[in-house]
Amino acid sequence: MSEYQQVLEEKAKLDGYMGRQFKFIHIEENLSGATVTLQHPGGEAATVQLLTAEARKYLTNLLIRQLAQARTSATASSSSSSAASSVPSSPSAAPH
Amino acid sequence: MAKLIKNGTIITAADTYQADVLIEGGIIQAIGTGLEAAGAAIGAEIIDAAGKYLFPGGIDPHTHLDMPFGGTVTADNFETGTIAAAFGGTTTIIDFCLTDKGKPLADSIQKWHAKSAGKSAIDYGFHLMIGEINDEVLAELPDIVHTEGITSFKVFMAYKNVFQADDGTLYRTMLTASELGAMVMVHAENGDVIDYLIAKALAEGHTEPIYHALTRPSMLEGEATGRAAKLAGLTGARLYVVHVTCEEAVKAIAEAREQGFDVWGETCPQYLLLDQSYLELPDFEGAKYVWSPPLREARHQDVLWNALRTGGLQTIGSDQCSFNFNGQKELGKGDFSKIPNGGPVIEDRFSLLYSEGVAKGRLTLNQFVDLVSTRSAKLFGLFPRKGTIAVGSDADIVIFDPAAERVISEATHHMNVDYNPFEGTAVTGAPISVLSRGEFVIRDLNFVGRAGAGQYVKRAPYKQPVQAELATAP
Ligand SMILES: [Zn+2]
Repeated sequence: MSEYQQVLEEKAKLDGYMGRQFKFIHIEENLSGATVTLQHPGGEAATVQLLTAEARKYLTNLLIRQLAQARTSATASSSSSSAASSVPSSPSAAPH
Repeated sequence: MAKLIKNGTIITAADTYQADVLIEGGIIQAIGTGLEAAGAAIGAEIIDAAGKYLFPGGIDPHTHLDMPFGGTVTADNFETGTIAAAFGGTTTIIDFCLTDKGKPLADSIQKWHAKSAGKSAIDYGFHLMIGEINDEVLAELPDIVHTEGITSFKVFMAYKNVFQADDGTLYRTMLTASELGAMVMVHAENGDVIDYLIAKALAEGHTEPIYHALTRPSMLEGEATGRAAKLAGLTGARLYVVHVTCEEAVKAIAEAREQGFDVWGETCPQYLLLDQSYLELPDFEGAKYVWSPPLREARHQDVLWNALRTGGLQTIGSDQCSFNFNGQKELGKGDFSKIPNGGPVIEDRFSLLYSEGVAKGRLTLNQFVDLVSTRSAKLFGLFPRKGTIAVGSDADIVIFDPAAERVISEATHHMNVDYNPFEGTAVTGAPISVLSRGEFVIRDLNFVGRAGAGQYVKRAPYKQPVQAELATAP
């Protein structure tokens, strides 16, 4: 499979779960790629392996959207803690 | 194809003189006048460089291309990053190969080869991150130095719970490196204290980008620099402190050198030219200026310039580590500690140092060449193959127009990122054409090279005896 096809395939997997209202709950990274854990509000969990850099950047966009939504709903109803808890563990700082 | 560069002014770290340069087989074959007949005999193309400087190609000792982290990956990979570097006059980079704890170092090195092979437009080498020292790591290191040609190891004193190594690991890395003739590089900030300050700031509700700087005070960089320098003195290791930003660290390096310790320091254009106030820009724009260590108060800039001028700091790295403002830096909206650290500097490192250094009278031409190329070649085991214009050296040459004027902008830069931290900065002087091993990569401001043309360079240990070096020189 070409790298381009692999990018498309990995993006499509993420899009599929987004379309079904899954949320990111954990991202585990190493030099080989990222293991993304998602969960549906109904409780169903799923895991996606991302190996390409482009798909990992795409993941960032989706993650930022989720973080922004979490912030909006957190300010809308300050009593709701479920939004904040659906945000995945903090990304580590970049090393230099 | 053979080339004869005529009428240029050659600038090396030592000399300034007018001469022609004859290139064949990627190597500088002759320097002098009256080389036309020799050139004609090998069918050399004549390139007129009248009114131009000929600099040795820039060596950027500090880049992070295609680097994964925190749910994302740097915006520039080895293709876009090295093409941008070439536009800027850089012909060799040394990128940091990260490692995973508990896994063979060789696996990580293979991953970095896979990222770069077939993509890099200029020559490249690797530094290797050391996150732990154990029997497996110790067993791997000799081969990494002697077979892979990776002769510099990076240890993080910051980024607690992520990359940070403890002082014992740093000490043992120094002992081993010293035996192997490899240099130890440190990111010098006190990670334990910073970790506490970040948690405290967030607990108090401080989430804005400026708190990135406020939780990493310069004294903690000075402290870590001094600690690493003393360990270098104790072990006899050669130490290279990356991205020095402040007076405290400059002083710690000066003190160590006074005592005869083998300690060297690098700074970056962002610390010379930008300051902490950029982190306070509205609308989250401050996130564009988040580097670690952070930008400092403006008073530190004079200290850094003075150190470059008087030899207290010896090299300029870009610390290239680009993340898009839209879609990557945004990760830290609402929490400064999640802003991806780093910025795009690989393309403008060379021009900024020339314009702000030479054109503004802070540095001589020869000091500029030493800082931007020669010293890194010497420290990192690339000299005399790279880092100078000399017979037998690789024909890595920048044809530079000192009279050119341009304005740095995201709209015209070649990095794959949506902002430039030096947006709107006017610079004097520009690389017009750039040759890598005798072939044009940039010709008259156009990219004519090829992704994948760059070669991996194995670097020599610094303790290699002079005689052996002469015997193996090209
Ligand atoms: Zn760095």
